[in-house]
Amino acid sequence: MSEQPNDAFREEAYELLTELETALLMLEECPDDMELISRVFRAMHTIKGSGAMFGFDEISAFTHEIETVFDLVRNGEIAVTKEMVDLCLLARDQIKAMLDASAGEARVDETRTEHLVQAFREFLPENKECPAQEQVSQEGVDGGQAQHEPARKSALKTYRIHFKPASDIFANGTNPLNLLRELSDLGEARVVAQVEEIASLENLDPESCQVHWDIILTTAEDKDAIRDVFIFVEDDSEIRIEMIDDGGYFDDEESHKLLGEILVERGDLRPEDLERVLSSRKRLGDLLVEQQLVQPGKVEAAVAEQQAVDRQRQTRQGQEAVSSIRVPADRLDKLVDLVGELVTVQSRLSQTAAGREDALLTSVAEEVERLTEELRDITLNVRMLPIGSTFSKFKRLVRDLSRELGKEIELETSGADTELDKTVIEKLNDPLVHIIRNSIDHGIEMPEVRQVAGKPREGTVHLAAVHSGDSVIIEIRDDGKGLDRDAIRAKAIERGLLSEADDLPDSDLFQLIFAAGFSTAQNVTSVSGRGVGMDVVKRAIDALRGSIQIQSEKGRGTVIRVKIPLTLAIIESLLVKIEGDHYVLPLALVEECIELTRQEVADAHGRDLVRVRDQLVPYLPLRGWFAIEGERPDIEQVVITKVNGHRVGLVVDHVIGEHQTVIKSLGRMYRDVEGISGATILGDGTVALIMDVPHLVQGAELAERNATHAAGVC
Amino acid sequence: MSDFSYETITGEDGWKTAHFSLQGELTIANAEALRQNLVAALEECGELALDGSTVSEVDLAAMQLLCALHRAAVARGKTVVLRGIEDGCWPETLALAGFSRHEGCVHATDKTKCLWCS
Repeated sequence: MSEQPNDAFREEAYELLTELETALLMLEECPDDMELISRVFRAMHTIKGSGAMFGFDEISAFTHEIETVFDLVRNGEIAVTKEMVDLCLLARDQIKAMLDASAGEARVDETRTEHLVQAFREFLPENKECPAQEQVSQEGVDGGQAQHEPARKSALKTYRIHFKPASDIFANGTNPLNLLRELSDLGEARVVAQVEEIASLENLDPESCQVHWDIILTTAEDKDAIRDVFIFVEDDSEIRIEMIDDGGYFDDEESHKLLGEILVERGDLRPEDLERVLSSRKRLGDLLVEQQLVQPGKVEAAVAEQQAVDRQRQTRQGQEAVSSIRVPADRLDKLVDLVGELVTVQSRLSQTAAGREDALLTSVAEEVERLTEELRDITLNVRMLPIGSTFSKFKRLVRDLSRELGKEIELETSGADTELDKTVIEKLNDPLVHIIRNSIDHGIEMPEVRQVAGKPREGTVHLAAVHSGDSVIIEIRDDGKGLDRDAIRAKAIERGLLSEADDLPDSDLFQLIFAAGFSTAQNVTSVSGRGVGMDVVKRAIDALRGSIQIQSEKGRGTVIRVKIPLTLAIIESLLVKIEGDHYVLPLALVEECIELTRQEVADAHGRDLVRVRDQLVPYLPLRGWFAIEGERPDIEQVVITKVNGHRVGLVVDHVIGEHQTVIKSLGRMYRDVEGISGATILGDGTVALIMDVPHLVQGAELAERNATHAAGVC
Repeated sequence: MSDFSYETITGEDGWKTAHFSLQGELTIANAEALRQNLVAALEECGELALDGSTVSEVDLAAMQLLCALHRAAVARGKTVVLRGIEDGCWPETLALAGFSRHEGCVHATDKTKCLWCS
């Protein structure tokens, strides 16, 4: 398909644009940092080169204009200024627009392109203008001016080269030293001369060459480039070129060669001799030389090889870039699905084995269970990505938005390497953007106001991500003016969510913000038409089976905490039974289980409360809630859960035990069923419904409030 | 003009040392001439002391020659010392040609000593 290379380029280009933006933002803070300047330049250069190669000429030409200016920066001829960074960021956006356009989305505003190009040309000193224009037409696949920077960093490979020239090589006018010099130009070379074939002085013909060489060369070039060095002496010389380290392909194999192995491999030592010598204690190289088994030259060369390969390995391990493979996301989804199915079937296997009393079957089932667990853990981890890339995107948002509003705001982040499932990160993006926007728009005050209040002019928004148990907690903290609880209370009463007499603790009061239609009266800039309000945020978080909490102190700031479970697909649950049907609920929410006797229920006089040690805990009789027919058993179980800091009991018939739940969605028809978020298949093939505990609790609370209102009871 | 002449100095114990103060170009062009002098010196003396500090150029053929000298000396139980190779044209050419050594030459009686090691 002809589309694929274009897609590949686009994908890479988007990534490069992200890198470009990050580097530019950092460069703004440190305009003299050469490393950052190089990063910016490299990103541009790669986009330009790849663009030209894939036929994205417009992008390539445009990027070239910017690159020309940045080349001058790189050479120290012009300095980085705020205007330049602003312009580069705009240019980056324009390139993105061009990419989007190439994918068939909105058209590119070409006048804008023109303006930007002109603006960039302003930076050029007068006499550079003409060459820059000429260069554009000379653009080709090779990517422009005599840049020595490779567009991509190739892997460094290490070769073992054996070079034995013919003895009359001097007579033919070739100086082997020149050849060795050429090899050194290709990369890092360790040359070892082998001199044992030099005749003794009396018999030596000084005009014959009796030296040969073993060379270890580490280079990005390939074998042919090395062969070319010897092209004129090939026919008369012995030349062997072997790759001994291919840029890390086999790094994970335990193939560190020992000195003796290398010598045996090179044919310089017999295995028996190696064995014999190894059984004594001295350093191998010394021993071999001492016993005249190997020429020191050979040992030297082998040591050189060993060291060179080791060094390469270490360098690679030290390098930041971790090698990775691109995998289409849906292939991973399929894999996760299959693993889910496997987990289900495996639990059936375990159940069956348990019932059979067959020792062999049991042990096999146990092993399958162990392997399945490991497979499950690894597979679910595959889609985990550090949240850092999302955080970086927000830096731009904060910068632009704060500028727009005339505020001074700094975005700080921590825990950028906290990992979450890829889909979770994607789904979190919009809610987080909205929360941050709120902080900037409504939270952080104007600089003057802050100063008067004794705060620093610059406000701070702090994003943090941290693992907690089997969840991730993302915290958005600002040092702005905090939530106005009176205003919220008033609005809640106005909307009928609260009555005058109600006295809610702050944490609950703030939750009312998420009610539909509660969004603030002022319109947030540049959000027009998207319909994103706090209620949409809440819904998005709920969809991820997460929770959101708000803490705020008037005048000091607000903290919003979003808690998301780490995996969407498989959760540890508690399996319960009500009248022949099975249900599961997330184990993470469960605190304990206690008994409830018919007597206790009677004693409570209609109030659904149970005493747990020294506290009264409300409970929800699920039979009633789910309208399940049948009699309540004499003894029921109350599963005490903790949701949003509140303890609520759920009454069931039996608590069966822990269960690995592979979540399956209910299907479109059942999407609006309240209180159930999915289903799972049990070991014996029956279906269990997954309870959505937060929803159940909320629903119950609302119902109770309405009931008390109606009854006029406080 | 290259000079490969040597001076014989006889010590008190009758031990003869040939001192070479090598001058000019030590290359294939002059290699044969040097070789002949070295052969003679080796015949005559128990030790050859070569000073390479005033050599303007050295090439592979010369280095090869000196190795051959060392080998011959060792075979006869004689000593060769090469000095003055830390500067000038020596270090670069030695490194390029891969003659620098950690270990000794297998032909040396004193295995830690290589002609090229200091």
